[in-house]
Order: sequence, then structure tokens, then C-alpha cells
Amino acid sequence: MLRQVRRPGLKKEWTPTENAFQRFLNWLDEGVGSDGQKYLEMRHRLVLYFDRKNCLSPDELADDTLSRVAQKLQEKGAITNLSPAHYCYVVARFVFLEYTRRPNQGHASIEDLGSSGDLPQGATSGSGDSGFERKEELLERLEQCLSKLLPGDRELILEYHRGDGRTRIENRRRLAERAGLSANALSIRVCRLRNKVEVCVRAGFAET
Amino acid sequence: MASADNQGTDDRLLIEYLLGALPEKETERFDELSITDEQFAWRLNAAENDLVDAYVRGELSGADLNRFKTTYLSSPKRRHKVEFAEGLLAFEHRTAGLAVEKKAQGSIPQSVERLPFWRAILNPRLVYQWGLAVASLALLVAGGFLLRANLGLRKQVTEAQGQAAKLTQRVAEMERQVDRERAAKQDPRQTEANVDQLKIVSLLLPPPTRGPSAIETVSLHPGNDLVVLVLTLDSDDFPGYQVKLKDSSANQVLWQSTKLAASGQGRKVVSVGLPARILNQKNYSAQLTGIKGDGSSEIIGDYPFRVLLAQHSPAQH
Repeated sequence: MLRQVRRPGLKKEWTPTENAFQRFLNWLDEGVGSDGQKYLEMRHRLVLYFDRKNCLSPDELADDTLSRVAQKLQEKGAITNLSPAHYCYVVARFVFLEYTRRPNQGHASIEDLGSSGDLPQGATSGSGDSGFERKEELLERLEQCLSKLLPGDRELILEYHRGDGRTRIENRRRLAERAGLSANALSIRVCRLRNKVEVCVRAGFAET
Repeated sequence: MASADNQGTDDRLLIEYLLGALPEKETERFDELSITDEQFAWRLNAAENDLVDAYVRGELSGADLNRFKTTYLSSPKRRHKVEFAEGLLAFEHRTAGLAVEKKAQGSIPQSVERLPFWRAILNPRLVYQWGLAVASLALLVAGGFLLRANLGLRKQVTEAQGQAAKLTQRVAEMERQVDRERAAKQDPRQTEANVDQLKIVSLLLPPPTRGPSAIETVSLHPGNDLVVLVLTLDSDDFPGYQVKLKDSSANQVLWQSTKLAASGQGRKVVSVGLPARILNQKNYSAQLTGIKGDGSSEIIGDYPFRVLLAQHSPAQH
């Protein structure tokens, strides 16, 4: 989970003990055991935050943030003035400011077309020598990952994304009615499913 | 920063935030909410998915499209979201295609047709009935498919042989023409007919295939002037064509033709002459693009080939 983090400006590397890490997970859970889900969700949000800030290594910065929070919790014994999420945000902001002051810090730009993820490059355009094969591979993975969902969930995610323009809006309204959910709740439910499928597809490409 | 506030947050603002178009103060507020408020984080995630879907469906325009391309696509992670969205869209098109096919067959009972197809397949009442029918049909279809594939392959071989014979004949004609031109150049009485001497090499390239296939090779001699690539088409679907020569390793366009037309009887081909001097000993790809009547174009495929530079005296194929 938490990686050993080495940061410029810190005197030593810090690795959490098993106990300290468990205490950190409990603190994030705020008394409601989540089996580490809260930690994963917070990490996900932090990665997206640093990515939106165009940082070149959002995963590393998210780990750095969580590591600092865990370290602070271990040092102080308790953090009570802010909620765990707010405290993570305050530290994330600090990590970002620190990042922008690094002499060799970089921001992602449209010119950085190198691959740093797991999905196949060029799958979108279908151009290049093997663009077609890559697209086919993506579709194959997608089908495999969709088939791992419960039939109702699979149907929901496919129906939710079906159609264009007004047809799609109408389609979603009907889906929400059928499921007895508000439009907002339905979109969040589908979003969770989509994230799950996306992670599965990415993991598949990382394996090969 | 409460959740109640989020409910009122306009989706438009979320889109502007994602596109980096909000003022700094608003951006900071949304930054904070994206981490501290679970509901907001999910709404933002959903809005981002919708934004990416709109892009891949060609529904973005104007400033949004511009910002999407210049800002949103600057991150590898976000480009991967776009790739995933394109995959979802392609999957939707594929399943929609299957549904249309099933409808066209008209063999599905109306009550089943209303259900999604995987539900219909899993309906226990129908499994047994359909099982027998599908098994018999599968045998028939498999037999028919093999027979048809066999006939198709035979036809393709015959056509390819015919095409090769025609090409050999054409190259021989070109060689004779070059000889005539050469003789004319050497004859002082015919100096007015002094046409450039062309030493031509031709290469027949089969239609692009999905799987790996043997790469065609052409040997170039120092005296060769022109390389004629003959690109075999699967079908002649466009009034015009264009060929782009690409360096396979760098995927860089090195040369491109003017508008060309398909020729030949039976299996159509597109022939294009490349100046031999632009070729080195390496792998290339001839990208064939179809040009529609309205001027728009569509990439048909890549025809890979390898160039070998021979050291000996000029020879023609």
C-alpha cells in the first residue's frame, strides 16, 4: 500500500510501521470500517487532483501526500482539528506547491505523447501500423471485463452509454425511473461501474 | 462546502473546471471539494466521463473542443480515459450491429426481441429449444462457410495469378518502351524524342491483413529510377485514392501521391510510381486512403514492404 517515500527537503526516508499504517486506515475510516476502501478512494481522488494540476507524476505525489499524513498522524498520535479528507487536502496542496517550486518539475503538455499508462497507444486513432489490432485488443479486453460484472450491472452500464444526444438523455431518464434512482444517483452508480471496468481493462494490458 | 451546495452546482461549471476554464478562486474551491466531498468527487467523475464521451462522439465544438484538445488531452492519464471511451463507443456500435443483424434475420420471437439479447439467451425456457436449433444451424453454417471459403480462396488465387500475369506483361511493355526511348536518345536523328530513361522496378502488394503476414521485398539497383507499387484492393469503394509513403519505424510521411484511380478487371488495383531516390534500405508502409466524392477521405489500410539496396549493376524486375 503506502510506499516508502523519498522527498526533496526531508531529512530522512520514512516507512510506516504495520501499526502506524493500520492506525492511519482507521483514522481515514472515521469509525466505520471500510476494509481499506476509504484509503483507495482518497488515493484515487488525490491522483485525479494532481493530474488535473498537470503534474507529471500524479501517482507519486498522491503517495507522497498520504505518506506525509500517515507520518504526521504517527508523530502527533491524533489529528482532531480537521476531518481526514480536509487534512489530506491541506497536505496535498502543500505537496503541490512544493512540487511547483522544484527546479526540475514539469507539467504535462500535449507534446508529451509518450506512453506512461497501460492502455495501448494509438488505440484511439486506429492509425499507425497496428492501430487496428490494438483497437481490437481493447475491445476484446472490454468484453472480458464487462462479462465479469453482474448481468444487471453489465446491462446498466451498456444501456446508460447507448445512443446520441436527446436519445441518450431520454434513455437515462427511463433507466433512472426503472431503477428507482435520481439521475444523480444513477450517474454515480454507473460511474463506479465504469471505473471498475476501466481498472480491469488497464490491468489486462499491464499483464501483457 | 457542504454536499447541499453541490446539488446546486451546475454541470456546466464542472465541465469548465475540467477544461481549466474557471477563474482561480473557483478552481481552488472545486479542487478542495474534489477531495473533501465524496458526493462532489463522484459527480465530477461522472461529468468527466460525459465530457470524454461527448468528445469521442464528436459532440464537442467551439471553445470546449479547443480547450479539450489543448488542455484536457495534455495528460497521459486523461488520454487513456479517451481511449477507453472510444472502446466503449466501438463496443456499443458492435453490439448495435449484432442487434440489427438479428432483427434483419426476423427469426426472433417478439417477446424475446424486447429483452436485451444476453437475457434472452439465458432464458431457461428457451435454452433447450434454441440449443437444438443452434446446434443444427451451426453444423450447416460451418459446412457452408468452409465450402464458401474454399471457393473464395480458389477464386482469389486465380485472380491473383491473372493479375500477376497482367503486371508482368505491363512491366515488359514498359521495359520495351524504355528500350525504345533509350534507342531514340542514342539515335542522333531522333533527338527531339529524348525522353528520360526510366529504369523501373515494380512490386505487387496484397491487401492488408489483420494478422502477421510475410512482408514483400523489393530490391533496388543503383540505376533504378522508379518503383511502381501495385496495391491490391479488397474492393473498389472510392472514386479516387491517394498513397502516402511512410517510414515504418518513425511512422512519418515521406512522400504522397496525387489523386489516383483504381484499375484492372476483377480484382482492382491502385498503381503508383515512386521516385527510387527517396528510398533507403529499410521497412516502409504505403498508406492507402480512399477519397470520396465530396472530397472527404478515409484510411483504407497500410501496405508494408521492405527495400533492399543491391550493389550490382541495374536490373529490372
